[in-house]
Amino acid sequence: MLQLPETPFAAENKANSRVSSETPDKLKEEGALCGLPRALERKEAGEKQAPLTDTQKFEKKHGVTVETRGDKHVYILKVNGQDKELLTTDANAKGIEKAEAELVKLRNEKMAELTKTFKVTFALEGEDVIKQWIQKDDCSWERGGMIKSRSANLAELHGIEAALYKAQPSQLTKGGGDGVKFYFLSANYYKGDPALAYFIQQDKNNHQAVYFEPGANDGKPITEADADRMGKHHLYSIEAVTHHELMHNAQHNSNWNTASVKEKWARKLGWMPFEDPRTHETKWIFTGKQSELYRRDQDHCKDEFKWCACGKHGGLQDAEGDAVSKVKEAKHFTLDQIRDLAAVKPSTRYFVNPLEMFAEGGMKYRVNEKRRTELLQDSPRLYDAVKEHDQDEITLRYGKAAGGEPNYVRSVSGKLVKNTPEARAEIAAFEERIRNPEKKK
Amino acid sequence: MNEVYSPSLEKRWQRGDGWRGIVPGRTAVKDAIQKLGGTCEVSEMINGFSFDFRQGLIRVTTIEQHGIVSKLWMSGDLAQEKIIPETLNDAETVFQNLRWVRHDVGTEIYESDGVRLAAAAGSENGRIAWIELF
Repeated sequence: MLQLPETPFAAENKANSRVSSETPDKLKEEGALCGLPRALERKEAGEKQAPLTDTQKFEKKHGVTVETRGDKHVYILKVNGQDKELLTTDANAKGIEKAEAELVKLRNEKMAELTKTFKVTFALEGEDVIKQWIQKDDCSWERGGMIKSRSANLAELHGIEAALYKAQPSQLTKGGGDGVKFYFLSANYYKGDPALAYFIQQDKNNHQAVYFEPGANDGKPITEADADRMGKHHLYSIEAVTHHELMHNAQHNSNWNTASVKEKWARKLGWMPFEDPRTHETKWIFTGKQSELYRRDQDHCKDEFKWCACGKHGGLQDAEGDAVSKVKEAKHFTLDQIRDLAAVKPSTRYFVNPLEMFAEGGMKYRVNEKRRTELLQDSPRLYDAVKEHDQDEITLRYGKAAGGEPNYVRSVSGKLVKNTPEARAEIAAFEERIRNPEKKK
Repeated sequence: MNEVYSPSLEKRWQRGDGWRGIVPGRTAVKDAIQKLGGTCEVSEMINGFSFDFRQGLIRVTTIEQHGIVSKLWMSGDLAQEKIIPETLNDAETVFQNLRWVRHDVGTEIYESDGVRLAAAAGSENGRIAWIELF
């Protein structure tokens, strides 16, 4: 049973705001969301944080905020821009015990509902996930101990639910028979190298999955509406991260494992393949507005990745435009400089490669009208590519009418709707308004 | 790699063995095109060209205008035809000293001398997404 702290919840809540103002900004700054970039880019990964109070542990476990009002505890879910009061108990140990049971019941009901509606499943408390990767001093990696999953909490389930309503059919597995499985890891997939989440092509049961990293959702806004309510720096709501990973699932379902397919979409975003003559690894070159070229690379696995100037054949260049062989000798650019210079502007600061840039664009396209507006205003070519990919996927899953038109389209809100003249007109009007704002005047 | 892949293959692949008569670094692109059936789709890379065969399941590249195959890329879907390894464990029977090098979206990348492959992330014996010989 939860041990009640001496301090009343309300006072403690005030003193220990649940809203982290650090993690999302740090992750954004370093361009780290899901898997790339990898090791050693986040030096603060090992920093220790103050131990959680019992109240915070309870709130973290269940994804709720607890407020004390007189002799009562009120259990609140901050979702969809509102404070949703879930239940009220006496402000004592018995009340907490009752809340624990009720919140577990609500969690289980929500999981069952999402499974029934979207075919997705959730790992159970203590379930095996996979053995952890551990980096050795020589840069090589080996498997460590088994990572266990924990249960999703209510905040996570509501964030995932919000995403699922707008992301479908991208939650489905390749065959379409069922949905992805969500895991909530108790240890980082790569030891000492935290991310927020990973898309997984094949879990231990040969199933497409999403891994949420430990702490990835702690103190995060549940939805993008909540992110706006809390301050714009909270870009990566649970809803947004889920959208991003489901975009990777959509890429997988659309055969992005095949080089020619991946390149077709990458080219639309201004990325070109480059085969490193030394390693024969395919790297990505990002095109600028003046057709100038940039590459994100490193000399050694322990080095930070840098954005570098490239010559017309993809080789590195220094500030004078002379060919150089090493990243450290090349002319460097910041993330924001590259974003401004790009022929196709990335919709967020996370664009380490075309797959991630595309997933971020897809997230903004689907999550809500406000984000879709931002995407179209900032990056119309990315918007068009994401829209085309999205419609391809919708049509593949839900088919076409006798006349050859898709049965469904994605409305401006992000939800799928019947492909009626009214629905098409609404989308066209939205796009016209954003693309040609002067016309309205 | 032999013409037909077998998990019980005793002879291990080595750089220079190539695949189906195509040896990166030695075989001319025109010869590779002939060996792979003649019909292909050509795309430009920043520093070369790629040639896709069988709806993109097989690709050869050439860089720096050498006219020689620099890399041979194969989709994991070819494992259905038993002509490449299906899983990471299968691949380890063919390619010696495979070592993990990095994560890529949904996959883990492994390398050994002259070979790089992507196996599905999330499984210790992930399906092969693609293999490239160079």
